[in-house]
Amino acid sequence: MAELSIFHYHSQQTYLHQLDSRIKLVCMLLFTMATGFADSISALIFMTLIITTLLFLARLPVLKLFRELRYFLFLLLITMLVHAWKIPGTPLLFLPGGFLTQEGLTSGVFYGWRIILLLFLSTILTGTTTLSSLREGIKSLLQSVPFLPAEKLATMFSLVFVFIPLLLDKAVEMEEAQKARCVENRKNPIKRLLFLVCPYLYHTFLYAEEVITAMEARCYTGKRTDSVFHITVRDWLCLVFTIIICLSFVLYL
Amino acid sequence: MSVILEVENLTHKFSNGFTVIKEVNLQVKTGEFIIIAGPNGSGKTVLIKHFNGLLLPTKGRVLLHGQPITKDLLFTRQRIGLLFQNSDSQIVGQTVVEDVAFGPENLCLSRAEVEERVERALQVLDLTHLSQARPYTLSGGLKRRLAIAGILAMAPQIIVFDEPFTGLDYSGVIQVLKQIITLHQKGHTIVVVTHDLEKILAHADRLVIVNKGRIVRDGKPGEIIDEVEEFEIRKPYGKQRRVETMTWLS
Repeated sequence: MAELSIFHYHSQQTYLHQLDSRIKLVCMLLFTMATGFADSISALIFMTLIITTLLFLARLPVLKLFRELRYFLFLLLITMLVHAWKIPGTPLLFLPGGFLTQEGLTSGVFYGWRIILLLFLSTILTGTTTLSSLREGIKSLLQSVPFLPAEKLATMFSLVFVFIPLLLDKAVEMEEAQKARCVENRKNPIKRLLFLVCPYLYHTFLYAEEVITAMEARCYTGKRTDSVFHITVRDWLCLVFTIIICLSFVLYL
Repeated sequence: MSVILEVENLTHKFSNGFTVIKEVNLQVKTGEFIIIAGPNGSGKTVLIKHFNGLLLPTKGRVLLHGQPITKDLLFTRQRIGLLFQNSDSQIVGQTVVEDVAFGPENLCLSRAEVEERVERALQVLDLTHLSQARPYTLSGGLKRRLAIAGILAMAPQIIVFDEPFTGLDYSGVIQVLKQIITLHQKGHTIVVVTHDLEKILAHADRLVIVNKGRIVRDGKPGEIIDEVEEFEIRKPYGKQRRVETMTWLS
């Protein structure tokens, strides 16, 4: 089976691994918002440096993660092209339906860059937090919001994080299986995509059903043993540090 | 031996009209080691999914300790552990220890009790050294052992294994087989669904053959082994071979 690192939990004894999951979720949310505000090269470089440092601090396999970005290239390319094509400005190249513009291309590159940073932020969160603490963290944060089914939402979130790496693994496995049967000889890209997407969706739904049955067999009802949280000075320090970085980032860059 | 689980006139019809189980009657007694065998599509998996209420019968009923399982499905699922054919779909934790804790946490046990049960289950299955490993990186045999640990941590009375040897290499089969036998020796009632009689039949007290949705034979393995090929199940190789030799454990 293909072995991906992105979104997988990596068991380590680092500072980030030991942080309280609620604090980690809030910090990640703040970094995500700050990344959303980054709209200049200097701001994006600054955020990239911070996130890369966090990746190293979490002892995640940085080079491997960069290599695995290739699975998102299609999404990134589409995002950049749509921006380059749809945002008006100085024309660079004529395409059916409009011009590729310089402003559009810049905006597309920035957008793609932000998506990559967000992918890495999610990887830091999932790579340093076990599923149960992530689930309990989300539940604890959502409990204060009225009318929200915190328990169910937390389980859904945590299952998404379990599913994403598995589904990526499966996609890679299916792609390789199709390559082994010379799918690359097919000239029509849409047909090639269909050959991959149809069985992939079928497998995904089948797998989801199997997981649900297995969870039911193990008495899953939504009500579970609660986690015990211990917020320490270290956690508060991390939160304060994150707030300072994000605020100064938004105000000065 | 007292009866723990009782299946009475069980019929299951799918929504497309296909009747997969027809008028099945079965009793499981304390401490038994039962093998349910049958060809693909004979209804074995559908039958065992009724044991803990994952499927409910169209007709008939399933009783646990004389009470219909529908009275308390959660209690039933805790008492009857079910191991699926595909271990991957049974794994929901990101580490071994987290996955084993999933069941006890669902029972809302105290944190200390959860930790104690997890530790015990990991010890029994000899997985303690892998407690922080990622389940998806384990070998097939280890994944199957992890799935068993996950069930064991819920302290079930009956453990049902659905095709436990599928996709395992020789050492994987041996690991799983040893665990099944150990669990039986420790007092668990065991039900194994398989068509691979050669690997395990020697350890069973009872052989149940399912064919086309019905139980067609139910008795001591030695008494019905010669008839299995009538029902599309391969009889272990060797003329006049004794049932006691039908195991992969030497």
